This record gives sequence, C-alpha cells and structure tokens, in this order.
Amino acid sequence: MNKEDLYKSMNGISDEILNRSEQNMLPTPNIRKIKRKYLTIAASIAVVIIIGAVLIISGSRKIKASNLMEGIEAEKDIYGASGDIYAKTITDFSVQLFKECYVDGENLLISPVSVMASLGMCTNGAEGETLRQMEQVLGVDRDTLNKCILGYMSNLAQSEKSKLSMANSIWFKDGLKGVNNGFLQTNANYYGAEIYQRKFDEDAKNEINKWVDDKTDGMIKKIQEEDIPEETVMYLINALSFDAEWEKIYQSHSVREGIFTTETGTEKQVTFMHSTEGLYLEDEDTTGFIKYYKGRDYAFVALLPKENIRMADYVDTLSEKKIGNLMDTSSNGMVFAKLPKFSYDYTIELNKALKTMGMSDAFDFSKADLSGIASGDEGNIYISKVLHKTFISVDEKGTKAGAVTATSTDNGAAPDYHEVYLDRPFVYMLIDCKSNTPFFIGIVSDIGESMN
Amino acid sequence: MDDKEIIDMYWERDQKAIYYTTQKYENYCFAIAKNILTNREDSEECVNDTWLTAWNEMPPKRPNVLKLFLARITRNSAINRLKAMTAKKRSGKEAAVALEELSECVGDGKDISNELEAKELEKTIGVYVSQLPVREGDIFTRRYFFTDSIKTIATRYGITPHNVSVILQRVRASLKEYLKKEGYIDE
Repeated sequence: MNKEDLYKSMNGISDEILNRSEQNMLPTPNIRKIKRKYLTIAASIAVVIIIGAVLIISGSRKIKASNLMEGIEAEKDIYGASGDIYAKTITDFSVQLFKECYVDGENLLISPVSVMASLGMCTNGAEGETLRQMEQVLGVDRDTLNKCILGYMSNLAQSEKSKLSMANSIWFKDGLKGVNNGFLQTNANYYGAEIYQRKFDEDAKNEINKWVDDKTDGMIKKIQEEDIPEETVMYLINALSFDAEWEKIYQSHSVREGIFTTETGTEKQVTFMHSTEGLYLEDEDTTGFIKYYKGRDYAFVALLPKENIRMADYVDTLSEKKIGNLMDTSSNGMVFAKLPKFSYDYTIELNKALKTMGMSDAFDFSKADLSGIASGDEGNIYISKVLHKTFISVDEKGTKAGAVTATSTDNGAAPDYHEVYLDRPFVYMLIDCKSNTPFFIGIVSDIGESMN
Repeated sequence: MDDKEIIDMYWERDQKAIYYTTQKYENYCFAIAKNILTNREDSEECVNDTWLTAWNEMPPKRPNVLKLFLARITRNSAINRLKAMTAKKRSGKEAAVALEELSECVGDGKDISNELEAKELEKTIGVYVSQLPVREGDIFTRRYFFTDSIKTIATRYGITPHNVSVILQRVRASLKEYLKKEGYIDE
C-alpha cells in the first residue's frame, strides 16, 4: 500500500462524519471565502434623426424648450400589435440593417428597434413616395409600424435587476411654424414621445444631450457633439438603455485571462468568463448558447460561426428565419461556455445604409415629402442625418441560479455537452424572451490588448 | 430546488439536473478540487468532470447526501489529475504536503492493486475514523478528505496550528498501528 492509496481511501469516511466535520467548524469571519464575481451587462443606444430645411428659418426667440405636449395626451383605446406580429417585423428589419452596417473585421453594435422607433415617428409626417419608401424599408405600413412599436414598448419587462427602457422625444426649432397637430397626437399615442420646441443654440445642444444622458442612465453622454447646424429644424431622438444582471453567477475562479484571435490571426489578451450553460444552439454553420438575465425576461444569445466560416460569409447567411429556427431548436444540455469581457462605443451615421435599403427620398431635400410634420412655408424639410450611437459593457456584478425548459432523453444516454468558446469573432444579440425579439445585435470582431 | 428533486431529475434522465447541480454546488466542488490541485484551471476542469461523472452514476446510484456524493467524485477526479500533474512536476502544494504526512502511515505490505481491495481499504478507513473521538475525527477528515490546510483547520476549530499538527501526528501514529493490525502493512 502506498500513500496515494491511503489518501484515496479517505473516501470511506462516512457522510455522517463528513457532515459533522463541517458543522463543528466555527463561523467563518476570518476565512477568505471564494469571492463571487458576477457579470452584468449594460447597453444603451441613442438614435437621433436630424431633420433639416433648405431655407433658414427665422422666428421668435425663446430660451428654454417649451413642451408642445401640454394639452396633448395619448388617446384612449389605442392598442399595440401582438408579440408575434412585432417580433417578426422587428427581427426582419434588425437582420437587414445589421447586414448593411457590417464592415469586415470591425466591431458592431446596433439597436434596430430603436432605429425603427425613430423612423416610425418620422413616417407619421411623411407622405407620398417618401412614405412608401420608408414603409418598404421598415417592412410594414405606417399604421402597423406604430402598433408594433407601441406593442413592443408596452411589453418591456422591468425589474430592479433587469431593466430595458425606451424613450422618444422630438425637438423642434423655434420658428418652425404650423407644426401639424395630427403628427404630435399620433406620436404621443404610439411612441409616448416628449415633444419640445426651443431655440437651437448652444443651450439646446446641452439640453438635448442631457435628455439623452438621462434616458440612457448616463451611458451615452452626448449625441450631438458639434454645434447644431443652422439648417436643422428638428431632432427625433430615441434612447434605449438596458441594464441587467445575469441569472447565473460568475465566480472568481471562472474569470481568467485568455487569448482572443481575430479573423486575421492576431492574438489579443482578454479576460474570459467561464460558465456552464443550459441552452445550446446549433445549425449547419452556427454553434451558440442562450444565457439568461435575472428574471428571464431578457437573454444574451451568442452565435459563433463554425470553424473555417468567415464572418462576412456568416453574416450573409443571417435572416429572420434562420434566427427563428435557431431559437426554436435550442436544446437542453450542458454547454461549457467562455465569454470574453468586452465594452465598446459604436457610432454610425445610418444614411448610407438606409438609402441602400431603398429609403433615399427622405434624405433628398428636393424629393423629401415630410409635409405632414409642419405646414409652414419654411422650405422643404428632409432628413439630414440618422445618427446612431451605442454603448455596451459586460462586467462583473451580481446574480443567481435558475431553471431551463424541460426535456427527457433515453435512460442511459450520455448528457449532451458542448463547448462554445467565444475566443474568436462572434455575433451576439440581446433579446426580449417573451417574443424572442432582438433589441441589440452586434459583432465582436476585435477586442482586448495586443500581445506585443 | 432541493437535492431530492435534483436527484429525481437525474433518474428521469432530465439534463436540467446537471444545470441545477452546477448552480448549487459549483463553489463547493471547486473548493475541494482547488485544495488538492491548487491550479484554478485544472480545478475547474476537474469540476466539469464531476458533472459528467454524476450524470453517469445516477442512476443506478441514489445518494443520501448529494453534496457529499459530489464531493467524493470531485475528490477522486482531483486525485487522478494530481497523479498526472505530479508526473509533470506541477503537483498541488497542499495535497503534496498531506500525502507526505500520510507516507508515515504506510510501508511494505499489502498491495492495493484492484478495485475490490481499494473498496476494502475505504471501509477500513471508514471504520477507523468512526472510532476516533469527535475532535480528532473531524480534524483528520478536514485534513485528509477535504485537504484543508493546517492553518485553515486551526482557524475553523479555534485552536492553534501547532495543536492541529500534534493531533494529526497522534492520529497518524494510531492509524499506522490500526493498519498493521488489519494486515495492510507489515509488523
């Protein structure tokens, strides 16, 4: 008999004594407990549609914004679309816009539902061919879009530990005359929009930035960096912020350094968080997993292209149907997952993407028909910019355990277990679990510190 | 979810069982593995092995105490890894010291060359520890089952590290005599 045999044979000590040895110990004030590290995610977005006019407007000079919504209240008996309708509409547009915005080798993060909300407000002032193009790009007619956004916003779950909030505002330049009451009323009904009018000076820029800062819980400090251009007559702003804690705890031992390899083969030093997940995703070119946030109202969906599939080719394959199929066929099992910590800002001007998708007239001062916004004689108004600014941060903070959907396998079968290591470029979505609708969709292509 | 429900799920071959087990006992099993292996990465891999082994062992097993059932699996898996690590000269520090201490109790004698003999030795140790006074039995268990350090044991039982060492030395000497009597080592 050797010492290893003896050491191993300690397994013969009874449960009773093992338990007793634990119970007889003193409380543990002096013992270094395993520190629990948690992962939380915070993401936010602000989309601003800046509407300009060809002619410079002059008008009255007020200092502070006046609230045009005074006296305008959302009408009763206004209902949003049901989950199955808005889920398909939003997911479809999300994937189309995502594909348009993708640039090989770069990180990406967009919130298509925010873009839809901003454009949706705008459609309520659009007419003719301008409206037709916007409806075609957004995938539904104006009335359905209004109902989709209302349905979506009404169903956002809120709790202390997982909060997704969306806010909309419209800012008119002082002097824009004849603002259409119907435009204000519809946006109040379906978008809960706050509508202001004020002089577009330095204070206006600060006030708009403060509104964005407030509505994104400080995650986006400024949407308007430069002075407001003279020809700008209106801002339509959508802000969305998401702040949630994971359902499942990341412990300190699960967080450690590792290598993330970009598509060009560059190795970067990152911090990985290891976990065992319960929902596995797979199709012919994807492996992935679903990771819930506390309360299971929201989840993080990781999609890793299979080995040797280029991200650009993978992005090409994405569609509303593919994502729907992946989610529908998620299976219970054990997934050894590795998720890098990451945090980045992302800014994109969406004019080009939206024009490519078919919405060109709204950006053309000679063709745009946004006459439903205002009936004054200031000149033709058009969209001069759709600015999209996002932020995401994945870091450590609290959560707890939960459940997964039931399934059984044959007696004696080995457990399905998979490894999904996000140590190379991957796609991710933050989804609303009620409808499986993505509200953020992004790509991590390049993160971490260079190894040199 | 209580342990009985989790065990029932293993018996029903419901893979959620593994998920719930990881939620409840990952920290606990990790601590056991880390005491033996020291290295975080090895310890985590060892704990991952625990989940697969638990799935393969239930059924037919239906443990009375799930936590301790997992502790034994983790400990076995860690010891097996320790052997490989020792071969690669990167053995776990605390386990190496504990093993060295146990070497005082062994010597020439019966070879433990098969599963049956290993089970017999486990039984013998079980009986021996059950006959120890509570304090000695607890300290011996913490040191050689859970591989707690002398310092940790001293803190957790409110005695000095010197006291712990003396108690362990006394128990090891007594164990050696017991093993001689049982025919595991030569007189």
